Amino acid sequence: MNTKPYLFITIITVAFIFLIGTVHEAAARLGGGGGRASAGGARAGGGGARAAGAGFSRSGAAASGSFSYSSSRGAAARSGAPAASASRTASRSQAAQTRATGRAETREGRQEGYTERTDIRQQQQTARAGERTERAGERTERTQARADTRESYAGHYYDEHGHYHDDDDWDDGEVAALAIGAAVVGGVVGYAAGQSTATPSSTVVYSAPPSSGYASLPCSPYTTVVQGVTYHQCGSTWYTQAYGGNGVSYVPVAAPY
Amino acid sequence: MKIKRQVKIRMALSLYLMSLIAPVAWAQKQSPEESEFSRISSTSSQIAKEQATARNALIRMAEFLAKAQKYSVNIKSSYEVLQESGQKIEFGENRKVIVNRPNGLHIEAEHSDGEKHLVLYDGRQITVFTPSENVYAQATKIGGIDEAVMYFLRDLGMRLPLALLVTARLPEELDRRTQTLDYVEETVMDGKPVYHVAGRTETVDYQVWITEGAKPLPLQIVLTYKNVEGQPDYRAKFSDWNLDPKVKNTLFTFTPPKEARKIAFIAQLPKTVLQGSVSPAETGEQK
Repeated sequence: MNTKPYLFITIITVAFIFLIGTVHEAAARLGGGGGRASAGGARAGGGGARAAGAGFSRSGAAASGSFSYSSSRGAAARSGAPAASASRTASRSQAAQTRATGRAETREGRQEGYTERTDIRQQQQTARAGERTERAGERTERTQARADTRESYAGHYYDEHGHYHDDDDWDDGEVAALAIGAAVVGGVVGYAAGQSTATPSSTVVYSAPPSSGYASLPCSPYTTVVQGVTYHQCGSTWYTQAYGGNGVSYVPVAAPY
Repeated sequence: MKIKRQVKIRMALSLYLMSLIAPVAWAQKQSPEESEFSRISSTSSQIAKEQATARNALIRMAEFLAKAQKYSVNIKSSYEVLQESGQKIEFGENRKVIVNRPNGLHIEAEHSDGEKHLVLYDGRQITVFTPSENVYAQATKIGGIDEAVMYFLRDLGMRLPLALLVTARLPEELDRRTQTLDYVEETVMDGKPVYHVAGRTETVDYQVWITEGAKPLPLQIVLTYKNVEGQPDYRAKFSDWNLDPKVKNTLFTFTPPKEARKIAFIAQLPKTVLQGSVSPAETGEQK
């Protein structure tokens, strides 16, 4: 009879500790953020062909480091891959394909584990969605309020500074593509679904010049200086060095004489 | 006596039961709309408070930088480029920036491929110099750092990441472009407490980590080009902020090294000279 209360207290204590543990675990799980839905952005080209080590492009929207980006400027023609040898490209694509297959198998193996977690995440996300919706409403109002403010403000400010428009985001330039000196006709198409569809031609010519000119010349040029300006000649085309968004490049110009 | 005790016990029990039931009954009496309303209002007041914090931090930082007579800072940055293959590749850069208002700007840049550039402005000439090629280009622009930087980017089509930050018009520009601004959290960066704020413009989402206290300086910035395929990021980490650097005029004035060649800006080459069609937009000129 005397042992009963102790037994009772022990059971209650154990149950309580267990309960606290469960709550803590649930809280910890809630802390793990859910997946982020990625919004598909509009395609705004602008991948240039300024070669990095293995023929990777260094140019793109993010290279500008600007607080605005005009997609209308991003329509720079993608020039083909640099004059990497066709054989290297082919072997690379095979390797990539092998890797991709390997990865796909691994992913399948992991899939089951993910599914369970996804369920939990989805529940959490649903719970959060309500809160987000509220915030969205708030934001819309704020955005509207801001827009109103902006309108009145812009009118006031830019009248004083005459030549800048209200929407003149002067730093929204695309860092334009810089073609490699020897672009391959047809270009090398990237690995589409793990397969290389590249059939690079061995003919090396120039495509239409991008705004930043070319990183290098397609020949060992004849060089001359006319009125202080240095010109380089390859065949019937003359080039001169000039500065653009990608630094110094060779730009095709009219013959100096 | 027994009866009295029983009455007392009953009263105590009924009081106890009432105390248990009362909150439940009160909760039921309160309409769902009311409780929802109080929840939303407390949430929205919290959001409003956070947004005020974010706005305050951002504006203070922008005004602090815009009004700073001079400063120097090192920026370690990186940006992503989506390749034709769909693979994202990251490139890096280091910059040393010296600002001396109203007319002095000195930027040394070193790219991850080893290429170095120097951009200078002395109140009259804006110059870009590339030591590896020993070439430079120069354009005349009078009117101060803002005018020079805007001309450099917009009209000459040149690249100058985070150019907005060196301009005195930074507060107005951020205010004009920002559509929403949110407070993310208070955190610690390089041992300093910082506000992490996140803004959205029409084309770029930005995040800034701003030091708390009397000197609200950016310690980190992330720009996300959300409308561009792959949504590439530009990231920058700021270090060695110095609000009283030693500045001399020679820092901002370009003296060409021996045998350096002066070349043109592409945007300045006469259109008739360029072969192929180069649109005004591509050369950074206004249509």
